[in-house]
Amino acid sequence: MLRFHTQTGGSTLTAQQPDNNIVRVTIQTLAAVLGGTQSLHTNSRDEALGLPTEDSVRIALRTQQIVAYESGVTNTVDPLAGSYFIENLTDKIEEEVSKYLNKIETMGGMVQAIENGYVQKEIQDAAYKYQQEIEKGDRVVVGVNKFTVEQEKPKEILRVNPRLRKVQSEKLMKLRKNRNNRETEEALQALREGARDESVNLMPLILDAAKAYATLGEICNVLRDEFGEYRESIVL
Amino acid sequence: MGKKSLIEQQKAKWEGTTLKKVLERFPEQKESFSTSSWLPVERLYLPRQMSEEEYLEHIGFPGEYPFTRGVQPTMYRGRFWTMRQYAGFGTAEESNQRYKYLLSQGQTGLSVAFDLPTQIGYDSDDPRSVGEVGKVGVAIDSLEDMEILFRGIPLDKVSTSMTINAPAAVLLAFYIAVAQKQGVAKEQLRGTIQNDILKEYIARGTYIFPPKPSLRLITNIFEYCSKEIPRWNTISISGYHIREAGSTAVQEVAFTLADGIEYVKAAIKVGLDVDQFAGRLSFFFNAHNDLFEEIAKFRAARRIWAKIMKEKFQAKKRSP
Repeated sequence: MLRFHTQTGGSTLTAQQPDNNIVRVTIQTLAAVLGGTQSLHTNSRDEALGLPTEDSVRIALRTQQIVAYESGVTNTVDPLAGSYFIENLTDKIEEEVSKYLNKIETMGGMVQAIENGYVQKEIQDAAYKYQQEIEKGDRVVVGVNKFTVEQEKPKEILRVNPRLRKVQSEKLMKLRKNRNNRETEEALQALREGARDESVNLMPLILDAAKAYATLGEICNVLRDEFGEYRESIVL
Repeated sequence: MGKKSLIEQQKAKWEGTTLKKVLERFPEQKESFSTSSWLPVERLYLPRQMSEEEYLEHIGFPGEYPFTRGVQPTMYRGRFWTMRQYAGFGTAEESNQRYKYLLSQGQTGLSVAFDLPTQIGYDSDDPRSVGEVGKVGVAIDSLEDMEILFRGIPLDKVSTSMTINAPAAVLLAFYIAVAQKQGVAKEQLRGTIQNDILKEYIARGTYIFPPKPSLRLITNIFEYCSKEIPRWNTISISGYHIREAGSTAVQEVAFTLADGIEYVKAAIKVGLDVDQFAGRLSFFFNAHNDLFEEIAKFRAARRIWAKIMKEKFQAKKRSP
C-alpha cells in the first residue's frame, strides 16, 4: 500500500513576481489532496529567492488549511474517480510507467540502470526539452516569459548568519573536551569492527556511538574508511 | 467493425455539425494539446465501456487493493493529511524556535531540513564544511545538538520527518537517544527518515558510500526498526528530487518505483520477510501545476505499487 508525502514543486516557483507563487502552490495543494496524499509540505512564495520568512511560511501553511477547511474537496473520498479524463490519464500513466519498469528490469535492475547512466540521461533529455520550450516561448511561465514586469526589488529575505561555523566549531571543541573520550573511542572501534562483518546489523553500534557523544563526522569517517566513497560516473 | 455505440454515433454527428461549425470560425489555440509532461490530451473524453469486473480490478474501493481510490476507507473525512512544513536553518537553537512556532500555528508534524555538511556526514569544523554550515538547513554535529533541536518538544506527541539519506542511520540514532533521554519509549516514536540513497545517485547528490554498503545500511535500518521502532517509516522513496531535476511525471513515478523495487529486493536478499518491513516503506512525490496529470499520477502510482507488491513480491499483509 503506497502511502506518500508530497511537497509542492520547488522548480515551479519563480523569482519574478514571487506572490504569484502563492497561486501555484494552491493548485499544487489541490493536486496533492485530490490525489490522496498522507502528508504535505507547501512551499513558501519566496523560496526561489532564499530561506522563507516567517510570514511566507505562515501563508504556505494557511493555504493547506484553507483547502482542508474551506474548499469542500475533502468531504468525499477520491472525488475525481469516474471522470472520463482522469481515469483515462491514470491508465495512460500506468501504461507508460510499466514500459519503463520493464526496460529497467531487462537492464538488470535500477542499480545497473543508474550506474550505466540510463536514468540520468532520460531525465536530462526531458529537462532539456522543457527548457527549450520555455526559451522558445512554446511553454508559458507567467511572469517569466510572458506577462513580465520590470524586475521589482525582492522583499525582506531571511539570511543565515555567516558566523555559524564558528559557533558550531566552538561547541564541538567543548564536546570533545568534556565527553568520556575512552568510551567514545571504544564505541567507534566496535562500529569499525562491525562494519567489516556483513552479517552484523550496524544500527545498535551506531546508537552506542551516538550515546557516547561521537560526532556525526567521526561516525561517518569510520564508515568511509571501511566502505570507501562513491564517485559519480560521468554521463555524456 | 462492430456496431457503434449510441454515444459514438452521437459523437460522430456532433463532430460533423456542432463542432465543425465552430472550428471553421474559431480554430483552437493549438493544433494539439498535451499535459505538462507531453502526454496527449484529447478535446473531449466520453464514457467508455467498462465491466463491473474491470472496475473492481483496477479501481475498487478506498482502503482496499489496488488502492487506486486511496489508502484509507474514509480518507479526509476521518482525518486531514499531516500538514508538515519542511524547516530548519542555522543552529539547533534557532530551528527549535521555528518548530515551536510552527506547532503553535496548527502544524501537525515536524520536518527537519539539515545543512549540507550534515547531509554528507561532515562536522561543522571540517574544512569541507566552510561556507555551508547552517545554510540550507540546521547544523547537527552530535547528540548534543539534537537534544537542543527537540528541547521542549515531546517526541511521543509529534511525528518527525527527517530529510537525511547517506547518514540516515546516524541521525536516527541521535533521535532515538534524545527520546530515551526524554523518557519516551521507542515503540512510541513516529516519523520518517528519507534514507533513499538511489535517488541521491540519480538526482540529488548527497551520497557518501558506494551502492553496496549503502544498501546494507538501509536493510540494517529496515530490520532494526521492524523490531525496535515499529511505527517508524524506515524510508521515504523519493520522486521529488527526480522531478525537480526535470523529469516528466511518468519518469518520476517510474524511477521512484524502480528504486522501491531495488530496496525490497535487497531486503529480501538478506533474509527479511517482505510482510515484516514492506508496510513501513513510504514514498515522497512532487506536486506540479498540471492539476489533472498530477492527480492521475498519484492514483496510478498507488495502483502500480500495489500490483508490484502483490504480484512480484507476494506481499500479503496490508500496511498499517
